[in-house]
Amino acid sequence: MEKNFENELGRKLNQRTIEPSPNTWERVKLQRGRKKQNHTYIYWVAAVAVVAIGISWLGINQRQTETATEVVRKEHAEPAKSKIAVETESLPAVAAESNLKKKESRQLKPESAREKEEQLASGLASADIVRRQIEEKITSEVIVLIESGKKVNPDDVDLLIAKARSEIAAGRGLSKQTDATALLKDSESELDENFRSGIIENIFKQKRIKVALSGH
Amino acid sequence: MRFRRHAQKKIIPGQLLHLHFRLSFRNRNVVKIITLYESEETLIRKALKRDAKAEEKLFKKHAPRMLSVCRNYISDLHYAEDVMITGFTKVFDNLHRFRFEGSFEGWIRRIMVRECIDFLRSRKQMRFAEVGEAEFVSIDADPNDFDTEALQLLIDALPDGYRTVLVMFAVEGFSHKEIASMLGIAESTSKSQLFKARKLLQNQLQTQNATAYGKEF
Repeated sequence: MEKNFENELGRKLNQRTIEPSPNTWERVKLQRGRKKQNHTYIYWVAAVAVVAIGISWLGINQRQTETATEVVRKEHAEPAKSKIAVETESLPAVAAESNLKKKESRQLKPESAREKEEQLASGLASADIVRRQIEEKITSEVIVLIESGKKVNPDDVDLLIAKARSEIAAGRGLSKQTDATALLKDSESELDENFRSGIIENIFKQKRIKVALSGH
Repeated sequence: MRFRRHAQKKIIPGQLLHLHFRLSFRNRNVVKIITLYESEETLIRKALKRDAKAEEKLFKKHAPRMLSVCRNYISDLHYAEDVMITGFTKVFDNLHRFRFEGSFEGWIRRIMVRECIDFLRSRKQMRFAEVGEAEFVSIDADPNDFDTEALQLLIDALPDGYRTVLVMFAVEGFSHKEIASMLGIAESTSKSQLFKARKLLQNQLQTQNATAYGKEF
């Protein structure tokens, strides 16, 4: 009896159809279109986010490298100037000439060699920062001495160097760890430069002797 | 002038039903193909390729029945239509999941029923309330005595939980186990809700019958 009731009810309701309003299909299409648009919007947002993250990451990397190279260049350039200033004042004219030749030879060096030097210097930079500061102190003191009109003796320079060494030994100078291999390479390159400059000097001397002999 | 006409029926399973008219006019043969009927499978396959016309045809074929299905659960026709529209968007979006194993109408019906349940849940209309046993008196009432609209109005008057279980069981033919899993209730709850819904509806039908006869006399 109960099953009969449910069967009859089911049959009656299953037979029924209700005609939807005329714009129903348009509404289905509209709803589907909205869904698709939503999906594309999400994809666009994701793509823009990825691009923005990429650009910002690249920017940060570039800034970091730029600041690092700037620091290295500054530190590298300033002591060289000071060295020249001290040497020009203290050493005789022949030494000044040799320095000029050194300069010339540096200018003549190929770019690849310069790049190598810069790389070496960048390796040293982190460890040398404090040492350079001490050197700067010394040179500034020397410059002050020169400006005051006093003659700078090699003894004075030695005194200042000793003072700086004592400061370094006291632990104020080399608080950071140094790169041993980089230091070794640096010293090697300095030795090479000295050797070259020595050879050039000898050549010039020989030329002078030849000129003198031919004059006689 | 000789004029001959041969009508040929060519039935390709799952494809189009064509009528080939071979018209012989003097020595020239002209073949005219008239498409009479497109099978549902063909329409679905076309709809899978985003053929808008095939989609529209499928919609127009099934929409009236599906609106009736939604109306069984939702007493407001406008809401029922909204739910049907959402259901059809899901049907077309998930058409690739239809495996051509059962009937397409049955597949759509299941989507519509789920959509109706979700709608009722979202509006917090579905409560499986218990009505006192004393109210139920066993009455023999036949749904055939009423027209569908009157029957629908009586079903609409039932509490939502009763109505949902009754329609799912009597109209859709779900088992109590299926109803319980779909509604997230116990199987015994589904059985008791059906029992009470049946009794309440029979009672209302009897009352309606009595008033109708009362009016007649």
